[in-house]
Amino acid sequence: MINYLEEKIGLILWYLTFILLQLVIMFVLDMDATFLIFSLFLYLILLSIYLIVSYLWKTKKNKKIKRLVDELDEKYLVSELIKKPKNLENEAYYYVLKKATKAMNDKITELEHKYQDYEEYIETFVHEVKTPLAAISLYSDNKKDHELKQEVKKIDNLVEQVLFYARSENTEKDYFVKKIKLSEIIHQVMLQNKDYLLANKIIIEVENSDVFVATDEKWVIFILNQILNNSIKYMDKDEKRIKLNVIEDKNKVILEMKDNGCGIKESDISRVFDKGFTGSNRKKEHSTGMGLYLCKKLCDRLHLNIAIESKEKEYTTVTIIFPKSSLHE
Amino acid sequence: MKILLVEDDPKIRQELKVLLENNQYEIAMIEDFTKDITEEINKIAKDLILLDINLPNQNGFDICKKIKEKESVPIIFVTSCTGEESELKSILSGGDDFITKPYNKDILLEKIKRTIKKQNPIQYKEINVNGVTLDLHLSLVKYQNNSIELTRNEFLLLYYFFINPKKIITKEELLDYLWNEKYYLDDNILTVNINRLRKKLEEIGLQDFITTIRKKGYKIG
Repeated sequence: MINYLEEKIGLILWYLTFILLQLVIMFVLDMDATFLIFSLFLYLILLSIYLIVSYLWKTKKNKKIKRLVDELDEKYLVSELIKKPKNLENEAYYYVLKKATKAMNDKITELEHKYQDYEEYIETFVHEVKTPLAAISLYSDNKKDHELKQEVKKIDNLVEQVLFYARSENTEKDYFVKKIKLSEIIHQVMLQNKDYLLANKIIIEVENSDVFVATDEKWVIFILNQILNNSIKYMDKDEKRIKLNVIEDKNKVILEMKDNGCGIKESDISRVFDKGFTGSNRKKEHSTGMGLYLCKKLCDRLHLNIAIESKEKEYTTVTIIFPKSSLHE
Repeated sequence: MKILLVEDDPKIRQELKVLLENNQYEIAMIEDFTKDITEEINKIAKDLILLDINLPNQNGFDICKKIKEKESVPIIFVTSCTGEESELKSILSGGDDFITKPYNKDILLEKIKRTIKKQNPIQYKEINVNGVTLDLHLSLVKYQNNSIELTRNEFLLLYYFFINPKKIITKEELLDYLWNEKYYLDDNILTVNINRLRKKLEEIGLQDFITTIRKKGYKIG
């Protein structure tokens, strides 16, 4: 209100000067002032009414505009919704708003295009690089060169990370949900890592996995691959074990993957899903800090719950919860 | 079993040929991709087709549709695209299975085996080798008047010996087989399992049924 009065100070002063001038004239000419004073008094009342009404009207209008912006998801589009003001003082602001949002939207479109180009390039790159990778992989199989095979597998894993990173940023739904047995998914993950697991003499136990879940097979394979690779990487005991167990209840399927590796420091555990986090005590090389970050991100997109529990020097358990949907019936 | 490879990358084609031939498949290949290959595919006798999706000048989905119009040969798609779109398209165009690059040897071989099996289901009830019978339904092994029940992985092990009698089977081969059957054993546990199996066989009077061939592997019959 005070702001408003300040804004209208010119008008008020003009009125007051005008009244004062009339009074002075009346006084000098020594006129009978009763009627005139009354009419001046009326002036004052009219002025006040005008001020109050216009104040209320303007605040209402302002509120409406503010609400319009607040209710809008994409606020940068607001200039399309605001009516062109009729009064002179707002015209410039309206002009500025229009220009600014236009420039901003152009910039956003440009960036979106650039991003899309980049994403397409990544997809193409990944697909192209997979052809020579496939050739090397087959070559190492035929030559029974397990070391080469393991290295190819590592490259493939990194390439997959790049692909899924690009995909996880994509807001479109690009996964394919179908009903599949968890044991089939686990089986593919195990076969993909067979050489690596055998070379590292890891004892694998899989229990109760003949359970159906409704999810995207490839995404879950990628997620389990990341977790399994972490488990293998951080094994530190003579007897190395990885145990997969599936628990089914009324409205969810829980997959637990437990290893007896070096575990995770208690102070680190809340940060393992952070992008680029590689652990404060882990001296292992070749950590991008992307594996678990991507797992979490993809799980969120697939509406799966992922959690990690660990005791340092003893074990790490990763739990993934698949909700049972109507697809199960 | 004859597999037709439709893959435009010559290096991959060559390596696939070696891999599949090592696994007792016969191989036919398409090598000229400059002309329309569907006709050529139709002329070749085959039990299964491995079909790449991205081929020069043409795409695998269309080829698959055209082939399926003429004959009902099983087709496994091979691709480097991992999107949902290609998976959906492969189903819609009549493909039987789908495998992504880089080829994982085990997954590839298993998918081929599974697809062929679907076409020719073979059901034995029991197998005989040298007077010893393996009952496939009850997972029993019988010798003279004795029989003994086997656990699932003992049964699988023995089954593999029974379908390959008189052949030296390496540990690696056994591991490959067991992993494909979802038993993820390592070398040591495999040895333990074979010894346990031998003890069971001794219980029904079979001494040295499974013989060890030094530094090579095992053999029955």
